[in-house]
Amino acid sequence: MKKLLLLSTIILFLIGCSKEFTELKPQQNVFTSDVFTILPTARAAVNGLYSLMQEQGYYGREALAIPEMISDNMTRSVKASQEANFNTMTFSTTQSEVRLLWDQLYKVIGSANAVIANEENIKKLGTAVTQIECSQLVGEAYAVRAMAYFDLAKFFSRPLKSTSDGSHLCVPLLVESITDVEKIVFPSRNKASEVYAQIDNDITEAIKRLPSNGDVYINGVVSTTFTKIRMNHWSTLALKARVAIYKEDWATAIAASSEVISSGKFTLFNYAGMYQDFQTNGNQESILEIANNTNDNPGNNSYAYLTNQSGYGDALATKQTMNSKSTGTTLSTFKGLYDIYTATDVRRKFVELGNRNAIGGESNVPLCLKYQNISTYVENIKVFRFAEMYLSRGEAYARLALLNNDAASLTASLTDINLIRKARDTASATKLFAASVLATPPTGSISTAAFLDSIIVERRKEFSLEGQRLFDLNRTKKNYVKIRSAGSSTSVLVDYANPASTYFIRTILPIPNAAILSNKNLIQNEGY
Amino acid sequence: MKKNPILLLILIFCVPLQILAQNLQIKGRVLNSKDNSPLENVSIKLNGQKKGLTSQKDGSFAIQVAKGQSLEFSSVSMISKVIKIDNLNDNLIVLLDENEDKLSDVVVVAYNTVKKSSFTGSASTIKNTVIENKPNTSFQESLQGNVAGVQSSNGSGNPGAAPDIRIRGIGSINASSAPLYVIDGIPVVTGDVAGSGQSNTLAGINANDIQSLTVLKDASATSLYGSRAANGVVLITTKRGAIGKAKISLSIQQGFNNPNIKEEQRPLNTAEYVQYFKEAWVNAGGTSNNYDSLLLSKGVDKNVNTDWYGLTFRQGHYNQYNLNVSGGSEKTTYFVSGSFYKSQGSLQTEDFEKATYRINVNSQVSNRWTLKGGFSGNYQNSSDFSENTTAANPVRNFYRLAPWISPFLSDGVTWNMGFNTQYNPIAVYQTLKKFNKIYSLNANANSEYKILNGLTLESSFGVDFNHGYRSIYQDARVGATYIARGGQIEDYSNDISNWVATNILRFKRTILEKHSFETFIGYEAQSRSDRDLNVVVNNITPGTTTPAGGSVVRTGTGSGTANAMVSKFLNTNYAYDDRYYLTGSVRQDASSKFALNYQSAIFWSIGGGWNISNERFFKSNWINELRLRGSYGYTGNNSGFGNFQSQGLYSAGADYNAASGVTLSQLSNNNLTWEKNTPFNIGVDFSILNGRVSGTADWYTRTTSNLILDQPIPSLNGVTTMTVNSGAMKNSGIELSLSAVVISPKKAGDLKWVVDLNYTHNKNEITQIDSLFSNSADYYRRVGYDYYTMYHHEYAGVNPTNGEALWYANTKRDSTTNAYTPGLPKFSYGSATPKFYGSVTNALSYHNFGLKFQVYVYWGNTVYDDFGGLYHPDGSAGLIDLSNGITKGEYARRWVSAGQVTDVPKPVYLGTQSGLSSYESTRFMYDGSYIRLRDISLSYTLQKEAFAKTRLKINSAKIYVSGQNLLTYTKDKNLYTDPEVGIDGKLTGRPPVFRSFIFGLDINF
Repeated sequence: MKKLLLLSTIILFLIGCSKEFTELKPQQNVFTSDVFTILPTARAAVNGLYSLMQEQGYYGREALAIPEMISDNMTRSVKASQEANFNTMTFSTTQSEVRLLWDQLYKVIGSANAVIANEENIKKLGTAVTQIECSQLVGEAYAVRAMAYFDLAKFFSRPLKSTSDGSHLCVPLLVESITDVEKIVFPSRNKASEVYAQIDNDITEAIKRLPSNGDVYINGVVSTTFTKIRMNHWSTLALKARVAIYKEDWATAIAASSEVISSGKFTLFNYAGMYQDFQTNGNQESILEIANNTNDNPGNNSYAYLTNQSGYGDALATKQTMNSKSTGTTLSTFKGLYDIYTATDVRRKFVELGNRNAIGGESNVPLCLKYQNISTYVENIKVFRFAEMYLSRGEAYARLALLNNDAASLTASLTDINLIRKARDTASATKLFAASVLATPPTGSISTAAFLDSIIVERRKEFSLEGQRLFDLNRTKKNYVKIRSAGSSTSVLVDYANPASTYFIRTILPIPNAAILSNKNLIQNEGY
Repeated sequence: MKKNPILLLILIFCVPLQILAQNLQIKGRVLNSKDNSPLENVSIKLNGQKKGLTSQKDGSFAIQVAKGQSLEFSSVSMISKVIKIDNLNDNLIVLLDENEDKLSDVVVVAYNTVKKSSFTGSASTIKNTVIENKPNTSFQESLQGNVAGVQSSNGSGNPGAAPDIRIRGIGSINASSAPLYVIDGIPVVTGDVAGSGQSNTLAGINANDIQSLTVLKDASATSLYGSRAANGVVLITTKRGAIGKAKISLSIQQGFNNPNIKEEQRPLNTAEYVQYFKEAWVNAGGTSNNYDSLLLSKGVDKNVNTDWYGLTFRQGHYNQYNLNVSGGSEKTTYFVSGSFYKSQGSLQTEDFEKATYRINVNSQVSNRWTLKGGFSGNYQNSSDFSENTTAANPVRNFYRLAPWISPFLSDGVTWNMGFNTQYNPIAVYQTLKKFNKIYSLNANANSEYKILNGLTLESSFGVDFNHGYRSIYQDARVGATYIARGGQIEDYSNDISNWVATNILRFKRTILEKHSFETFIGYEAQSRSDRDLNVVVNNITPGTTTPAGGSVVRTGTGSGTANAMVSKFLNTNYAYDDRYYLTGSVRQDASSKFALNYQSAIFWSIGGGWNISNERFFKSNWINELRLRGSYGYTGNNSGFGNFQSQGLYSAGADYNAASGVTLSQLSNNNLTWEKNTPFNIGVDFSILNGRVSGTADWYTRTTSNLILDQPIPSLNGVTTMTVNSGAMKNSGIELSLSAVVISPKKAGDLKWVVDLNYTHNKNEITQIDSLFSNSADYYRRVGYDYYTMYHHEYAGVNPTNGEALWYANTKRDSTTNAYTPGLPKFSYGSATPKFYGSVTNALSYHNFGLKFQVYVYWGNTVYDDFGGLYHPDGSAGLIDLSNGITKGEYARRWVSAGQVTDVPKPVYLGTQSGLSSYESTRFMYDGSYIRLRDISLSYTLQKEAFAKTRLKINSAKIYVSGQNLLTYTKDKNLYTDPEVGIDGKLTGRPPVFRSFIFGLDINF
């Protein structure tokens, strides 16, 4: 009996627990090593890219709010809590929103790198049915990465053409996938030319892999609901056109936008539709939207909450008369966003006058009405719209006309620009730019330049509050006045000819202090 | 402590006694001075002689004594007593006092119980009498002031809020510094099970069920808990029955909880504010003539004077009922208990209640086999408010809301909703329904089989289930956020199950009389799994209170996690002749949490003890026991990592347009390890003057290295941080505890006075840190500094000439500025950690009366008011509904006229020179030192005899009144609220600790 007991005791000690007992799997995570071993998680990894783009640090808010707030389109109410220092252009390297944007964009890139690095693994998962989808998944990752690098370049660096060879510092490039702490890298900033080369490369690689008819495959079948909310052939071309405009590669801009225009997939809104249907998800003009549904629920951190007077409502659109403290006569010649529209322009409805909903707030000022849903937040952020294709092509033609004294290009440009003007303004019939307005080149070159200016104004009208204005100003170096709401301080001139001025410096963002602290190889932007 | 009585005692015991030859027959009884219960086996000897006799079961004895001779009465765990016999006495009653802290006591330690004299580690045991019948919601609060080396801060007057407990300082930066709790052998689930941020599953334990509580502090004491031991261990042993007739014990308490806010700490009334803002208006350039029209335009009604303080606070009721029955036969003993506890906080609607039961049974199956089982359950329900800066926080509101706003419209019933973003506190109290419930079940079974003589196999299995449940109902009529959302219901549930199975083989033998060995080896498996669910709905159908009543689902989510650990351990104690002791222990943990390259860990300790007083050479008349001990070892803290912290992970929940999505969330780190703690301890235990004074002193130092920290990495790697081991911290200190019977009763009913004292000094120092990893805006975390060193701009007081606030503009402090900017230099100051803390407890009894009081000292710490900037606007916010908050004390100190030296600047209407909420500085830093009469109770006890004539079979009965936190001395007169704050030294709008008055009745049948 005793021996039996002793024996059983010893056995008990020896057997104990098997090794599996301490090998557990997470329940709301997937091991990195498992993600690209089955198709469903590989798909989820690509969905994750868009989910990252939804967040406050990117298209959720900052990618729209920051460039509008720095530009002449938007100002911050005297009664406000959000987005401090952008309106006054006093933000520093520790501005939290800047860090949020930087980190979020790189998170998108990191996740896209992982998808691209696993292309071979993903291909292996494809069956005859899902092969196209597998190729598309990697194509999307390329397109997303191109967009993220392009946005980084715009926010944190001067335009490509600000040095003749693009040798100025842009952002650090990383295209490898990092999965282990032993492998982390501390790269320094690449040249703008290198970053734009990478963007071009990614766009090319994306177009190779994405179905050329613009189809988007979801779970093996063509999806209609996802067509406009994921990168496809058309949105990648739209990106290509936008990048080309920023690179001043006019021919590419014309080619890419023409392809989208002739696709037959998109039509412009009619006059009323511009205001009524803008917010409709997947509308006729929409090329790419970042989707939001009820589950995403960004709440207070959304762009709509920032602008809606029932939310924070901190952001207001600009109007020349809102600050009587604007000093100097020259300043008063710069118009606020509200001032550029005619009364018959449908787009003025997005900046209708109203009162700031806060004690001590402004009254009778233009409000920001482009995004308004703060109850369900089911309101997709429009990244590329069809109108941009006409305006970009129109601009590219005009640039070529100016460069080459080319009358045909000018005519083509007029057609595109007038199309938009006519669609948006009932009184536009009388205000169309007629070819006759401009003298025949070459003698009309000055007038062409003036025409170019009005194209930029047209872009301001069209893309108001959509996060494009600052970049149009930066690439065209058009001086502007940062109109500030009354009570705070004087409106100021942002002079692109004065690189030492604090306002010029702040037309691009600083590399966040935290990023420099964690990576000593990063050099700060000039002036910060 | 009074010295004179002790000197007197020394004289009494040391003076040789005269011997006269006259034989007297003495009869009598030896009784326990505590409850007059008879003491058996008390050794009774003629003074100086070796042989004697022992007392009978009823305590009686009979002995022949020569007149003038003395009798010495001694017994294990009692303080010896010598009585001189001068007269014949046939009913001599001898009262012996219990020795509170004697080396012969048995203490519960890791996986074992040992005699204190053989234990080489540092452990403090708290007797049940310290924990029982206290109004505290959790036994943890009773640790405050009662154990050297244990810092306990309540910091909240919200009943049921978890106190911060730290054993021997802060041991970690990112990981938890809280100790491990082990109840009847099961390492239990602790913390915020209901997810309210304040719930505390340990509060469910009935303090009256606790037999003893041991705090394990050094390596020798804790290392058997391996990777969880670094921050100390609290062992709890619950009560068990004793052989004999059933004993029934009933206790009833009723009481009140009152706010602890002094008059000068309350906000101004309307008349005072009107005067205050008049000054502000004039200081801003206005004239007294147009002040009235300003008041009118801002809607200030001088006739309204709302007492927000009075509407926020109340007298809360408190009651507690405890009943337990215990007893048993030779074979089986039992303990059964039940309790109910209810406490209303001093703040409106902050309520807490709990109910508990416990059944513990022991059975001697055969003379080799013993079975023990325990089964207990408890239920807690608490309601609390959101803290911090939320508009619904009542603490924030009573300070800041303008008294000229009426909570009701002119009809006197309808809520006035036109202020405080529609959070009318009255409406909040009436509509907010928030409860946090925790249901906890705990079961354990233990089998002990004596295989051979000296060889025992012990197997035990324990389970610990916790179900937490929280529901918050936000009415659609109250609060801007919830009005916009049509009301909100949030339901959260959380289940945690935890089991542990342990097998231990024990071997015990003494060879050659003087060498004794005790060894045990163990094998243990523990597994824990968690699962939670959270649903938030909006647009609530009126009258409904569950998520089904919502028409929009705002959030619907849930998560789960698990961990498992397999361990082997070995412990050996060797003793030679009760003089030399040597202990060693080793534990290997293999945990699911550990990284690939460190899948198992070995922890160890060695310890030694020397009982000097057992040495033949040791001869002292006044030192009875003297013992030195020391230990060194290595323990771990793995609480800092998540269950999958070392793994490369993608996180789910990154869905896109309802399609599932995952994103990279964590890089793999195969080298991540637990935090390493190496404690070194030297201690001395002593007992002098026949045990009338006994005590313990310890000196320790422990270094925690490999701290688990999140290190920022360039975000282009895909994530923004990685978890690494980096940095080190050192805690060293002195602990002292003393117990003295200052006055010992000569005969029944005489005055008895016992003093207990403990003192702790702990010094924390960061010894290695990368400032980048541990950036904190409020604390200065650098090498050589305490972990809670504060870091702020320095306020230079008020310019006596013009009443403006000043700040130091340079680090030399030789220049000041009146223009606050965030770029002003910052300075490091003191620490939230006290220089020392401790308490003195006096227990006096006289006849049937007992008086006990504890004075608690917490000294040398700084407190920072996180809301300082918000609560002190100096008129900058103007006449608005919120943003007031000056207290009567500060009002009295405000700058009024030139030349006045003060710390409160002049108010300026809509001024920006001072008072903006972002102007953080040492203006809001205070000396947090305080002395508090923490506990006082006066009791009257009736023994069995008093009930002899009645039919009631009462053994004893006690009635008492007691009070908690009745008196507090705060060193810093400017600190405008109760000084007891959380361990981080921050005031964050929490309800202050309240005062309690209690009436109680204990009856033992």
